[in-house]
Amino acid sequence: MEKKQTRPTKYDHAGKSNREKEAYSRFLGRSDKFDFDKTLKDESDIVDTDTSKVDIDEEEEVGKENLRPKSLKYKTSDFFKNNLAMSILSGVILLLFGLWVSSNRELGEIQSDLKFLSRDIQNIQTKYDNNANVGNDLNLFKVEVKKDLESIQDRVKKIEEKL
Amino acid sequence: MAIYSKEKLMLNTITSITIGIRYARSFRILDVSGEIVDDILYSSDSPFGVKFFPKITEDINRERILYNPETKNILRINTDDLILRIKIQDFERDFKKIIDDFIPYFKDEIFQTYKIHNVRRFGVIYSHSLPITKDLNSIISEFSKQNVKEPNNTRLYFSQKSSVPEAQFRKGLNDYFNTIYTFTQIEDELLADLDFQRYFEPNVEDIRDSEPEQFLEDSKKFLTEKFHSWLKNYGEKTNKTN
Repeated sequence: MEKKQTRPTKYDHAGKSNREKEAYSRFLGRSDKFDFDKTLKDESDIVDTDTSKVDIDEEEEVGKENLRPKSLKYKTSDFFKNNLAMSILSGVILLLFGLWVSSNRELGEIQSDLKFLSRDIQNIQTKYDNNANVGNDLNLFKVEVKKDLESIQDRVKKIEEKL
Repeated sequence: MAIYSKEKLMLNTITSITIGIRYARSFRILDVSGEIVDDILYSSDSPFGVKFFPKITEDINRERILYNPETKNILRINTDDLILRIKIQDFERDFKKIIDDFIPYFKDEIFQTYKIHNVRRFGVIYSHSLPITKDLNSIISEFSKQNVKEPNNTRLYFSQKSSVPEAQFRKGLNDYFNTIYTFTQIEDELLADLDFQRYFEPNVEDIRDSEPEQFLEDSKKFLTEKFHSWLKNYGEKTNKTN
């Protein structure tokens, strides 16, 4: 099975060997009857309308021509063009997946924040409770001080009466 | 400024441009050529339409031919080639139209929609109309050792291949340019055709990879810098005679 020659693309950088360069130059210098194969035949060239004749020189082997495959750029763009519905569906799925991943991450962040907030609230509660105890102690102190003051006032009154 | 005027003068002698795209022979094209013709004539994407090509015919080889009997514009499509010939009124304007409208339509619409692949050759013919010259007759006279001194009609053509810069060094790429020069002297007119071709060896699967617009720019450069540089001698005669 003869391997089909593929045309190099602009991304192939292998260079010609000296022998290949010489062969190319020789080819350019060679005379060939196909060199007169015009883009559009002159009207006077089209004189033979007998189609039963087959020009042997015009025969060519089918499927043996060398080929440069379609470039990746056009393969990709054509694929998306030819599979529009699938491309849109894939796009939507990708978008949804992206949103799902993104929302999951955001939910995790929110949960984490909530945990921190909850811990902070607990700390505040504890501090508040502690502060409440301090307040009670202060009230007690006030009552004691008040009692002491009342006791001192009573004594002062008694001393004044004696005087 | 003078050079520019001379160049413009030469461009004014161009009467028509013919563009040919040759692809690997495909008999499927005969089956879809009717659809292609409909697309060219009636599609909203088409830069042609029924005014551009009011007539259609089919030859014995089932080649479809669209043409305009007034302008002589013609479009042919067969198993091997798509050929468009348009009459030139203003070279720069019409050349721009070919590059901006016609080529993208063929490349992106016709070749893609109808899956025409494996491009083998691009060709463009710049046809000039110049006044008659005795130089051609002198060639014939010399060649025939004075036996034919004043031929009534003369046609001379010759070709030359040249390298594509990229192909000189890239392995596996043997593209080349081929130029066919044709001079026909008939009645009182010298018709000079420059047929500039690029052969793709190996063939190009998708026409978009072969950059036809760049090929046309290359051909125009060759036309103005190489061909007109010596053809202008005959163009100058046009100026004097007119």
